[in-house]
Amino acid sequence: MSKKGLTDIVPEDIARENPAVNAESVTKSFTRWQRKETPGGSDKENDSEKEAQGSRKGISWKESIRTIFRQEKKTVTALDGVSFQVGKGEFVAYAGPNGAGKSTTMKLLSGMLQPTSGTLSVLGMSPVRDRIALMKRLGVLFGNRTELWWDHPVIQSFEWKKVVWDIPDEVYQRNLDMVTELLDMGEIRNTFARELSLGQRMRADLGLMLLHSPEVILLDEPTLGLDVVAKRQMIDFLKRINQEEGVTILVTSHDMDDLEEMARRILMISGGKLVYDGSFDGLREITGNLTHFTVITDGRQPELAGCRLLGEQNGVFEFEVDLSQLPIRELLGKLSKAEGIMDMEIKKAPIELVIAQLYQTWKST
Amino acid sequence: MKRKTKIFRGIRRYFQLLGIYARMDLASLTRDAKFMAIVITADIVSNISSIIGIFLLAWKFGGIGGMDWFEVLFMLAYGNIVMGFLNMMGGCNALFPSRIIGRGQWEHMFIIPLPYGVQLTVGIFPFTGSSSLLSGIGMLWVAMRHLETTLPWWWPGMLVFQLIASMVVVTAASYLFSSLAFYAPVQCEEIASTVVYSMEHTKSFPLSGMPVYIRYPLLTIFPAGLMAWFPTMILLGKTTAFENFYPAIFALLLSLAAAHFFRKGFRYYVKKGINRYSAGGHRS
Repeated sequence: MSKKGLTDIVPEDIARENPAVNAESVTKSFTRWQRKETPGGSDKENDSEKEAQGSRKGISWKESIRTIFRQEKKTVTALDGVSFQVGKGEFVAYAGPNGAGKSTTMKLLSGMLQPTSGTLSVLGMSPVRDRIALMKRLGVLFGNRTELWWDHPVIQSFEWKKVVWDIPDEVYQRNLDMVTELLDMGEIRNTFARELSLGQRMRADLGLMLLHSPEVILLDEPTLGLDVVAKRQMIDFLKRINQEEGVTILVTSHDMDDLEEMARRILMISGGKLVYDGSFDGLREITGNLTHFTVITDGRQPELAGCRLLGEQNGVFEFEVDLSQLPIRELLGKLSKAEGIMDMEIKKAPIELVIAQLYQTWKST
Repeated sequence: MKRKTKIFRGIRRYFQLLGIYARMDLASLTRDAKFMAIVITADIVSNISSIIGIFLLAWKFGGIGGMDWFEVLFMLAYGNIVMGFLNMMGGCNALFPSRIIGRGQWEHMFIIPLPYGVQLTVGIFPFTGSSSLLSGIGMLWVAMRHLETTLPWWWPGMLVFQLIASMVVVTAASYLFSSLAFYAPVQCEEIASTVVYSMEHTKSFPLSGMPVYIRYPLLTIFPAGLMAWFPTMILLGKTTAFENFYPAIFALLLSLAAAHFFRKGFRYYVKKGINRYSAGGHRS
């Protein structure tokens, strides 16, 4: 891994004035219930079994009674002084390992939680104080929950939204036509929400979210559980509304390849802190500019010092190389001297691999 | 002039919101003839079973505890109107906020650009939730025809006044106990329904002739007596002038307490959040 720092790598070309989303030193702490594990507990019948199992632990009777009078709580800092801005019209990925604070950030930005300290604004408004005005201009979609009316056809949920959000007729009709066409919703518009597949439901939810022409969209795991076709549709659609309508999008996902395809900038958090803000290529540089390449030979294995062989199948060899250690010119020189090479292909290291290496680094530091 | 226009617009918008929920409720009821028949039959059975015991006892013995048969019928009708109206208005779990809190579904309400009070009161179920109200009105009409009392001109106003007070008592009790769900969402998810249903089941018993140690707690600590029996006494002219206003005073105090504790719990909720969510949308 290169010695390049992990923090504050912010692209300079991003407009910082009048940001669509602004977080300044945001900290969010929670209190969580805890219970001590005690070796063995008081269950005598199982003592010999526990001895046999060595380190097996549990919650003892004594511990269960003790917590009536003396509860144990642990303060967890989900976000620790996080600051970032998202400019209008940007498409930004928000990533991090499990429990890093992604969903907490989304909830803070959509007014579902209040920060412990620090300030947040979306379109210049406070998500808590200006909730009603903001929600007319903000779209929120959580992949694991639906805004659709379960026992009604999709179109009924759309009409409900039109009335509740007070959407003018012409805006509603224009957006309805747009989402029907782009999300291929012709067939599912009249289907009851509970009858939809997950992919269809997500498309319907996305369509519902867009009916009021939101200027900023917050998406928490929108591709969760979707098959490749549904995922493709969603990604294409999001890219299109970002490019054509100038909608600002902040999206979280566990699928880094999806994020790289959608967004140009990535914010990464780990342990509640913002550890990276920049481009996806910048991330690769941090992990040492890892690159994969495939070499097709007549069956002989090429000897390439400084490259790691990942696998071989029917004369197709896959290598990994750190281009910061072995520059591309030297690599090509080595390849030209190797015997039996018929063809080759160089590709960037999958972003999933880069991120996995980063997560491992953060865990160990 | 501007203020008047704003008020007019606000009222128009409120009715517009009521309208969409009413339309959706009708669409839900009429989606299938079998479903519609089942819902209507279930409602009829439920309404009959909720009052039949007391009704038959009163019929058999010519009244209960100093109340004659038609006075008992009047009381049952009054109770049905109170719960019927609340059921009709309390769609989307508005009468059972502990469910919304306990299931983590308040998060859906945060992103709707309407005040929470409006969100909670516009979700009406006039077609699937009005059977109790309609049966109550019918029973009241029958009871009134047979009551041998001359009613003063202000009596209809007093009826509406008492009905509102009774509804406020039930709603305030539900919201007061639901405040606990902010702190213990799993354990208190059903606390509102437990409170409301236990009050509903107790409301049908005529408390006339009961000892004070039973009557007073049912008018204060567990105010089921204010859902039907005590207002009936007022409307039948069997109370003093001061007592006539007791339900309203109690309703006011209880709703102030409920508002205080609910706000306090809500502030805790937005600071701490609830790590729980029941899928299935925000209206189930």
